[in-house]
Amino acid sequence: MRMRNQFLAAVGLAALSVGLALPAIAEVTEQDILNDAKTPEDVVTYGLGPQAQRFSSLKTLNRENIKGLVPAWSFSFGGEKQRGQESQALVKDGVLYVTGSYSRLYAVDARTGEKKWEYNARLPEGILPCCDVVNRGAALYKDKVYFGTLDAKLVALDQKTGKVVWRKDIDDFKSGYSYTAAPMIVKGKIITGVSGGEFGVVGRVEARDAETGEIVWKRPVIEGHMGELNGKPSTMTGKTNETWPGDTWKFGGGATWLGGTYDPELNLIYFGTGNPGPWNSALRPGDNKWSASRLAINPDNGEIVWGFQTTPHDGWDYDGVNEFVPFDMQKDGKTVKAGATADRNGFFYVLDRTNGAFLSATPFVSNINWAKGIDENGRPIYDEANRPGDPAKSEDGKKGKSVYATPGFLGGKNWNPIAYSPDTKLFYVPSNEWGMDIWNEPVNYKKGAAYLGAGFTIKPTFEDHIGSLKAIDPATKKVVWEYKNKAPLWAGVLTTAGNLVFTGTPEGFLKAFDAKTGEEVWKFQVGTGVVASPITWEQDGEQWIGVAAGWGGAVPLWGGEVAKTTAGINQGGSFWAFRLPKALASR
Amino acid sequence: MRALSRRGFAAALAGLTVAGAFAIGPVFARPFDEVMASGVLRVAIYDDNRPFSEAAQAGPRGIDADLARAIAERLKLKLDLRVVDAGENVDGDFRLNLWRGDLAGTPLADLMLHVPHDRILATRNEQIFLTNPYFEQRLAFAYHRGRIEGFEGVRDLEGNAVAVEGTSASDSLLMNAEGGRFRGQVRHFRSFDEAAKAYLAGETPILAGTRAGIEAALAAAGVAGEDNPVVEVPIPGLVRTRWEIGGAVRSDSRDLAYAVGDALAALAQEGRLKTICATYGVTYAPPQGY
Repeated sequence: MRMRNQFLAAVGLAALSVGLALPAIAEVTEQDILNDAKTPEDVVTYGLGPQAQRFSSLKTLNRENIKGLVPAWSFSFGGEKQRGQESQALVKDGVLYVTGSYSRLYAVDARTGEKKWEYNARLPEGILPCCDVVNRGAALYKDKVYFGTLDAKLVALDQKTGKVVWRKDIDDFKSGYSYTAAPMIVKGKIITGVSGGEFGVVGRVEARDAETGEIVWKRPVIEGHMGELNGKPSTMTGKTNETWPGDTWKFGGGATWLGGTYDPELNLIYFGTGNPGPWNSALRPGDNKWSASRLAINPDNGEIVWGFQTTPHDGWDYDGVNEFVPFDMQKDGKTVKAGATADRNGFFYVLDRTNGAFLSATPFVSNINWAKGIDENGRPIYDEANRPGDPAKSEDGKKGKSVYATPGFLGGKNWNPIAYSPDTKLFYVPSNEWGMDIWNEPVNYKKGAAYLGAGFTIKPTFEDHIGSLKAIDPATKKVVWEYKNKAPLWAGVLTTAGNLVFTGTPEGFLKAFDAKTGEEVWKFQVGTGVVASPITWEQDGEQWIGVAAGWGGAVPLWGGEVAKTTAGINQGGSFWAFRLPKALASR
Repeated sequence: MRALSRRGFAAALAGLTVAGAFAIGPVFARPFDEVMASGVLRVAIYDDNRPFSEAAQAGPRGIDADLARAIAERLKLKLDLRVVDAGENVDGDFRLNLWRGDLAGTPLADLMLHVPHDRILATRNEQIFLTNPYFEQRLAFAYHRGRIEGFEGVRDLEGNAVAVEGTSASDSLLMNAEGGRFRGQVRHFRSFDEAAKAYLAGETPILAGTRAGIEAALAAAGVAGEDNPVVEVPIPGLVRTRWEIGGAVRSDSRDLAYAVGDALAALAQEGRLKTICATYGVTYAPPQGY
C-alpha cells in the first residue's frame, strides 16, 4: 500500500513537471462550450456554439478591408488518403484540431501551421463505408479531443499528445454501421448518433460519460424500440404499430448520421433522423415515426420531449437529418423561441423550439413537386402522381413506374450546415437545385442474390447552375438574396458580425459575401474543391479564417449531368488558414 | 439517404475511374499467364453465405469453397482462398475484390465466385468479365406438412405466416404478390439463417428463400424430406425468381475466365458439381444452357 502511494506521488510529480515545461493549456470547461459563440478567441464546438448558428461576433474583418485577407499557412493532411474533406476545425489555446478523410485527426500550431501530432485510425481490413470516407469534425472537453471513425468507433485522445485514452464501439461496422459526424458534448456527456443503411439498422441517439466512454442512455428513434438509461430499459419510443404495419418497425431505418445541436436555455438536444426503410413506401403504409423527423431529447435521461416529422411516409429518400438551429425570432413585436431547419425535402421550416409546434414552412428550392405545399399543421400536401410507384402494381413487369421528383434524393440541402446571423436576422442556406427520375429497379444483386432496389438519375433543374446560396428571412419567409454556383454547393456556411458570409465551392474557391446584399466581396482558390465548414477566430489581436480543402463527398460519386459540373476537379487534403494583418485592419 | 443513395455508389465510381484505368493495357492481357507463372489462383468467396460459403473454424467451407478447390486443382494451381464480407451490392464487390481493392490495401483476387450471370450487371461494370455460370438459384418455399395441407400456388399463403430475410428477393416477392395482399403475413429477419431458425423452431409454418438455402437448412437440421416439402410456385411481378451464378475476373483477364469456364464445364460434366452440392444437402441446379 505504502509503496503504491509513493509510486503514485512520484508519478504525480513527474506529471506536474511535464505540465510546467509545456505552455499552459487550460482544459475545455462546460462553460467554454456553452459560451463558445461569445468567445471568438477559440472555437471549441462544432457549429461555433452548441446552437450551431455558425455566427462569430468578430467584426475586425469587413467588406472594406477583406482585400487584405491573406493566406498565413497551409497544412497538408499527407499520404494518399485524399478524397472529401468535410471537417470543421476547432481552435483552443493556440492549437487547431482538424479531422481528415479516412478517420484521421491532426493537432496543428494555429499560428504557424506546424504539426504537433497526428492520429491515424487503423481501419480494419474489409471495411466497406458508404458515401465517401469523410469525417465532419471533433469535439473538445477537458483534456481530451474526441472523434468517430469509419469503423463505427468513438475515440478519446489526449489533447496534448494524441494518445488514445479510450476507444469504444458505437456499433459493429460489419453490420453496416459507420460514423462520420462530429460528436457533441452536453453536460459532461458525449452525444452521438449512428450511420448506416443496411437492412436492420435502426437509428438511435446515445449519451456516454465523456470521461470513461460508458453508455448513460440510448434512445432509438423508431417507434416500438425500447430506450435504455443507466444500463436498464427505460421507455419505449412511441407505441408499437401506431405508424408502421406488421413487423416493419423492427428494421425501420432512421439513421441519425449527422449529429445534433443543443439549447442550454431549454436543456434540449435536437437531433434529425434519416429516411425509413425499405425504400419503397408502398411496403410500409403509415407515417413511419420517427423517421425523417426532428426530435427534441432531454440530455439527462434520453427521453423524447417532442418530435416533428418533416416527411411522414417518405418515399423519395428525404432524410430528416439536417441540423435544427435554435434562434430567437422577432415577430409582431414579440420574441419567439424558435428553431429552423432547411430540410432535404426542399422546405425551410421554422418551429417553436420549446414544444415542436409548427410555425412556417417555405420552399427554398425551385420546382418542388413531391408536395403541393405544407398545410397549417406542418404536414405535406402530397402530390401522389410524383410518389414512386408501388412495385406490386408494376404495369410492364419490368421496372415499375418512373417518376420525376424535385428535389432529388441528395436534397434541397444536404449535410452542409446553414448559418444564422443575429445581426442581419437572416439564415444562410447552401442549397442545390436538382430533381431525379426514380423507379423500382429489379436488376440489383447483393451477396450474389437478386433484390428489388431503387434506380434513379439525378438531373439539374437549371442549365446554368445547381448550387444556390440563399439568405432567408425566417420571419417574413422571403429570400433576401441568392448567389448561384455552377456546381452543387457542398460546404458549410459561416457568418460574422463584420457583415460577412463565407462558404466554399467545388470549383475550389473559399468565397466571402456581403451578409446583407449577397455581393461577392472576396475569393481565394485553394487548389481543390471546398466541401468543409469554415471557421473564424481571433489570435494575437488579428482575425483569422480557416477551412479544410479537398474535393469529395457524395457529389462526385454520381454521374450524369451533375458530374459534368464538377468534372476535372482535383482531389486534395489540406487546411488553409488566412489572417488579416493588423496594419491592414486598422487602415 | 443511405439505403437508397448508396446503390449507385459503385456504379458511379466505376464510371469515373474507368477512363483512367483502362486507357492502358491490351484487351487480351497476360493475367492467365501471370496466374500460371505464379502457380497460385486467388479466389474470393463470401462470408456468411451458407450453403455456398462461410469462414468456418476449420477453414472456408461450402459449395463455392469446394468449387474453388476443384477449379484450382483442375488448373494445377495452388489455391489462395479469401473469404470476404459482402458489400452493399455486387457492383461494389467487384470494385473491392477485383479491380480497385479495399481501404486496407488487401491484394486483389483473380476470380470471384457466386456472381450473378446477368448481362445488365456485366454491362454496367466494364471492369469485369463473367465466366460461364455454374448454378441456377431459384426462389422456393418450405412448409411444415401437417400445419398446411399443401402448397401449390401463392394463394395457399392465405392466413399463414412466412419467415423471410428482410429485403431479399423472396421478401420483395411476397410483399408485392397479388397487389400486396400478403404483406401482413411476412415475418422479417436480418438474415436467412435467422429466418430458417424461426421456421425450424415452429414459429412460422412457411419459410421462403432460395431452394439451395432452404434445402441446406433443412438438411443441417436433419428434417429434410416429406415433413418439410420444398416447392417452387409461380408468382408474377417485378421480382426475379431465378438467376444464374458464375464467376467473374477482371476484364483484362478474359483468358483466365475462359480457362475457369472450361474447368466449370468439365466439373459439371463429370458430376463433381452434383457431388459437391449433395455434401450440403443441396440439389444441383444446372444453369439453363447445360
